[in-house]
Amino acid sequence: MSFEEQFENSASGIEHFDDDNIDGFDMNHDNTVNEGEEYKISIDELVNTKTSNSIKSDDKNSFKKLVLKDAKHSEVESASKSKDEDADKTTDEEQENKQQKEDVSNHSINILQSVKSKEVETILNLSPDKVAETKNFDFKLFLNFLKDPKAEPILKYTRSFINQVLKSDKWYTFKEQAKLIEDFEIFIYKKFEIYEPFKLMNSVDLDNCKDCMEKLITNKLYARIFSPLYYSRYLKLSKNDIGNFPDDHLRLVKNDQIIWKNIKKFGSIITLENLEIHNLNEKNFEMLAKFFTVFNRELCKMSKFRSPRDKLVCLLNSCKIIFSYLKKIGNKSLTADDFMPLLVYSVLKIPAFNADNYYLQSTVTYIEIIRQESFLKGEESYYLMSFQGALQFVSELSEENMFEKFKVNDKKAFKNKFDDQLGYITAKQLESEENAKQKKYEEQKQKNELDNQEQQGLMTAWPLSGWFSGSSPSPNEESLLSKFSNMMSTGTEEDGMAEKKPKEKNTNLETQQTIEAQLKNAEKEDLASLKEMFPQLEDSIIKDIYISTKRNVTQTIEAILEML
Amino acid sequence: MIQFKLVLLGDSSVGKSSIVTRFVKDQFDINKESTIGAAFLSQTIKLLDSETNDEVAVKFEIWDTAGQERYKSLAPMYYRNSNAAIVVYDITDANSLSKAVKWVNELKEKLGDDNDCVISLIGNKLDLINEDETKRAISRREGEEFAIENGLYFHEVSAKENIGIKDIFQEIGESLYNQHKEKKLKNATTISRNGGNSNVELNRPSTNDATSCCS
Repeated sequence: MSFEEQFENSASGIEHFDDDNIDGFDMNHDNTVNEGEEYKISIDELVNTKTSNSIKSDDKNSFKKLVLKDAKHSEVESASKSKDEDADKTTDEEQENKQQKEDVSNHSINILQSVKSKEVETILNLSPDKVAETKNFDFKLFLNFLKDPKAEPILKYTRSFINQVLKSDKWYTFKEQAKLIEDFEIFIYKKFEIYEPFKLMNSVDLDNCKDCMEKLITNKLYARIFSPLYYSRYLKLSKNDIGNFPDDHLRLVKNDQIIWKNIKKFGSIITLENLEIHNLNEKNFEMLAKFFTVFNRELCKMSKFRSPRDKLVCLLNSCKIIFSYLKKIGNKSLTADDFMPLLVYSVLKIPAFNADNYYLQSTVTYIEIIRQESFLKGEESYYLMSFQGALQFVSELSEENMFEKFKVNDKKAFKNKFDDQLGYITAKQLESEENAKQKKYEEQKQKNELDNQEQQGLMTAWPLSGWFSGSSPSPNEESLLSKFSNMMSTGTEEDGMAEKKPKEKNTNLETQQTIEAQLKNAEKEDLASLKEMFPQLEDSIIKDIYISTKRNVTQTIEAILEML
Repeated sequence: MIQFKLVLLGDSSVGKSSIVTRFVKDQFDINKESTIGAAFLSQTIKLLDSETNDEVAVKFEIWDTAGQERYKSLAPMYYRNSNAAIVVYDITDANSLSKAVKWVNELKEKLGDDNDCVISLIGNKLDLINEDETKRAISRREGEEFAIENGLYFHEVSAKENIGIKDIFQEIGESLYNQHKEKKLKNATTISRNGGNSNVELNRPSTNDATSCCS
């Protein structure tokens, strides 16, 4: 199996808590309402200075020019500094924040407020803050501030920034993205000083808002900045000629795989002694198993949150669990000598065959790169670094160096166990390849049947699979796709939900039962995809529109777009 | 408050962690900020500014590292951006100084020449010698000479009996504080020479980023 295939096989089921109901907080608006409060992203290209077309054409429309330059490479940073200063000077000029009374954002929030409140509540209970509350973090409060009409410019700048990143079809390196986000954060924090209610806040509340701003941005941009999602988007689009996937993102995704491979290879065969973990006896060992369950639960949770802050809280919780275990077994000193080996051990013991989507390296690096430095306290960065260290240790393991990395007394026995494990892995792999083939075959079969139906003129709805992977979607659809593809990859969990409510509405298709079944299938597929595109909308709303447009997906999308 | 990052290096049996534990527990301000575990500790000490005679508070963020040989390759991640390092050996263990020397050399090599990381070489377990002089395996001179050659601070201490522990940190703190003041002064002069805005970076509130003061 190629690396890409392997990635795609394991990349299923990336699901997230919509914690704090951010998906319901709509950020996608037409740029026209942003006049005067636009934020321009730009990365200077050293070789040829052509900027992305979409950004260029926007330039003409905006009547305040607010170009924040940033440097692709740090060498040119100083050169662009003067431009930065120029941009700052324009900040005084935006004072027409009184127009646009029809507060579009509030309006749409009201419409769109997903009534998932119960769900949200349960999620809030799961909020990672339970174990490690570092400070008062209040995201709801922040959203309320943003809804304040006086804060509208802030909202518009943010929206403008998010939209531009989402619209841009350039493949950014992680470094560039970090720079874009950081620049925007610096920019918007300056704006906090100008506009109420932020202007009047004490420093504690203001810090909270800054932190929340990071959460908002990263939630909205998650599919473009979290390497595995970015990569799976790339693979989806890669049939067209879209250039190369950025190296630094790719390295992370590959490293995730390497770590998984090594966890599979070594996880089940290594012992505490191999890693020089002392002071553990039989009795402690039993407790260790229990503690691993909690450790894994915390780590696993990391993948369900989108913002670096939330992920970090989960990661710190898992470190805490290691310490609480060490404390529980009566270890007095609790030092790095005890902690580090146990952390490596714990990572290696993650149950490898049923949880392929931890994306440990991507996640940890994502936190490190995207989390604002001023929010990374010494202690937090220490444990983040320790995790990086543990991952590095695991990723460096190989058959060649295993006797250096592990303390092994009986090398022959260890090697035998290792070879057995390799055999087991190969068997498992063949099995999963077989399953994947089977799945592909069934999908193909289903698609063929759908195509047949269409040829017979019995299908009114457009088979969605056709225009996702189809040869040449019309320009219109393409732009729609690019506009909303960001949502597609974040909302995969919705498939199941759409399936749960096949509401029996009277349609004129009752005549042929078989055809009905086919159509229902297509409908399910359509609805699931629509739901992915508009995760902020309720299932029933989407379904109503879908039915009212006679199950035409394109028309449904257009109708929803108008509504937004 | 000024903050410094301090990394702790040394073999696993030399008692490097107990030095920090002793230091952190004996100070006026019991460590409240470690919420996760003891591998990371922070502690604030007070210094007198030699010119103004004002009392200043300096905060150490202490990064412990795993001493076992097999985790040694991870150490560079920890000492990146650190302002100070304490390298510990055991004066009753004949091999431990050579290991400490390795740590120092590696540290210097990885940090490069133009770093101003303050390094202190510490021989621990002085209490064992005080009980029984024959247990000494490394002479004081040996350690001291290496320290002088390499521009390191040097002490023989006992974490167990609390001998000389506070001095290690006091000394590093003072050195880092002076370094910090010099840098500040330098920045101030370059800014005024440029005739630019006077208090651009100077009065910036300190952040939690350890690298923001001296790096």
